[in-house]
Amino acid sequence: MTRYIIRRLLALIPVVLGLTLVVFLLVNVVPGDTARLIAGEYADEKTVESIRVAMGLDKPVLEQYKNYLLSLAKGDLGRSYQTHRPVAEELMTVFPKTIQVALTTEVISIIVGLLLGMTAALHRGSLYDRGISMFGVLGLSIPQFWFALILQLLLAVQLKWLPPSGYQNGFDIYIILPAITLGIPSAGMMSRVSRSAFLEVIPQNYIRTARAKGLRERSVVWKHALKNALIPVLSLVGTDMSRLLTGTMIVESVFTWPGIGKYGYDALFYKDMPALQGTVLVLAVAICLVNLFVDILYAAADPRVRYS
Amino acid sequence: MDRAPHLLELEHLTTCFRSDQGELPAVDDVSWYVDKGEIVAIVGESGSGKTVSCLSILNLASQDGSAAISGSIRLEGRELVGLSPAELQKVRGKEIGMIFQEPMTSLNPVFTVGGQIDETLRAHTDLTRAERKKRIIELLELVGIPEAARRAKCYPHELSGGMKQRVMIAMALSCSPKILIADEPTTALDVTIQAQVLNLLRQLRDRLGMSIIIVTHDLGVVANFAERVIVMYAGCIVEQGSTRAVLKNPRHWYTKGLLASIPRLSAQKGVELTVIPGNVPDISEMPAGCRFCTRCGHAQPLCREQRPPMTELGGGHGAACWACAAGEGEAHE
Repeated sequence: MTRYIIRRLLALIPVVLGLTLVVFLLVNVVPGDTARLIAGEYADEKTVESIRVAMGLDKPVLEQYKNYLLSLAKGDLGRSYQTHRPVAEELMTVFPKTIQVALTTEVISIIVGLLLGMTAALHRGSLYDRGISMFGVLGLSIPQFWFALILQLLLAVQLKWLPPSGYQNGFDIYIILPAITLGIPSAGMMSRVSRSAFLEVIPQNYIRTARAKGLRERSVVWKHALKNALIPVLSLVGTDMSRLLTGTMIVESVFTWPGIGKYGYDALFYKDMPALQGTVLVLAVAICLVNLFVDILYAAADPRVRYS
Repeated sequence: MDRAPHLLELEHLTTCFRSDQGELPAVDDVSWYVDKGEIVAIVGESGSGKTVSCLSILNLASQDGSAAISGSIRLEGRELVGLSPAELQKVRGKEIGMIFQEPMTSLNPVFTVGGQIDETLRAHTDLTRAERKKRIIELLELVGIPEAARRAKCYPHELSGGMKQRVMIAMALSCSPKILIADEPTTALDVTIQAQVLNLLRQLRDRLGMSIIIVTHDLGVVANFAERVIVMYAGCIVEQGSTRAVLKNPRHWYTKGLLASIPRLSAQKGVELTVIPGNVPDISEMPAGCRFCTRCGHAQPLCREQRPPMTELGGGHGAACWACAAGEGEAHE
């Protein structure tokens, strides 16, 4: 198991190297002169040129990439054009906030989705089952930006139950609206996948064996069926978690949640290249790690999966 | 006739499945019994209702409750039909153990085999954790699994098919049931493993004194293993009696056909094998009379119109065939 994890981590190195190349090229393919951008519109040609030299932008591309990698190795992601603070430092403050929402959302979605899917499968064909299926389709097809605004209007502006936007340290009611917005599609998808997983597991012979042993219906469903149905659901967690980490730009902007989505959105808006590069790189590495974590969970849930 | 109560007695058992065409009886008015320590075989083609009638005993004929059971099933005089789920759970696995056709899929792939046996023990006994652990190893040794302590920690996919069936047997026997129902226990196994499993079952019967009901379509298994045989066709019993009487002197044309269609090594090469023509009629279009009449070469008009009664032929041997009923009538004259 430990060897498997180490091997998987080593396998990440070429992936991350490839990522740095893509992220580095990002700046070079984007139209516009970086030095001019930093200097400002009204700076004279001399200032722009001095910035170009100071930042090493006059050097060949390959050398620039080498320098980029070297500073990356030191944990230096450059300085933001906007705030002139180190990007690494800024990401350290914004990323945990996104992780907080993503994890909260994911855990609740798994629990809610599993429960809904399971009960729907057990009452297959009933009105309840059809209602859950509807919820699943609806959850998946509602546009996030629209849903975010509707929630804000309804729960915050009209009913005044929740603050419309903002953030406070720690767990606070501010997390509720972004979590609902992000969690509805997750729970919808989870409920659909877990419903079909249960429907597949319930006619299996081992479920009949469990009943033939004289086990209570509760342990037949909650132990024998659940652990098998969990396997396809787990494989979904990886992609869903990636969606939650990367897809928060709009939601964080609507609710002014100071996470990486909002940070990336602002960086894009102001053409703040180091900030954008840092955001993309951190997110990509995070997704790789999430997938590794899910693979480990997967192997733990299904003994037939081999660590190879 | 023996009037002492049988260990297990089924009377007028009918199991219907709800479907789009209404209620279809997969087992239609079947009565049979099992005595203590007996090995009874139920034989028939696929779709004859042999498995359904056995699954009905523990109300396991359907996973979703689409099977409706009527009639009477009595275990030591106690009625099982209509028991509450909680009461039925106490019978399942404790008084009646069950093993299935597919050992590959009958064990849960995500739990260790020891853990799965442990569950049965936890459900039905008050043994402590240490006692259960000891019992699991005993059971695995009992069914001939070497290195039992190590194997108990294995997952099903780490064991061969024969081993899995042995685990299933160990699990079914864990609470010393009075009856073991074996639904085609050897069909999915290699021939050499089949003999091992059957020998094991017989040894266990001799040692533990339980009864065995074995469902099979293999007359070879019946001949070597069972003491009494029940032949089913299209949801009904067509013939029953001691294995010797039924196999040596079959009286129902279906049983005769079944025996004749066993391929023999002594048969000449190139000679076509004997077959029973046609197929089992679909349950939605059963003939009104004898259900075998559509395939029987000796069918009379009466056979098509009326269902033949079970005719007692002496020594517990009986056949549901108008030819036997007529023969008996003549004998009485």
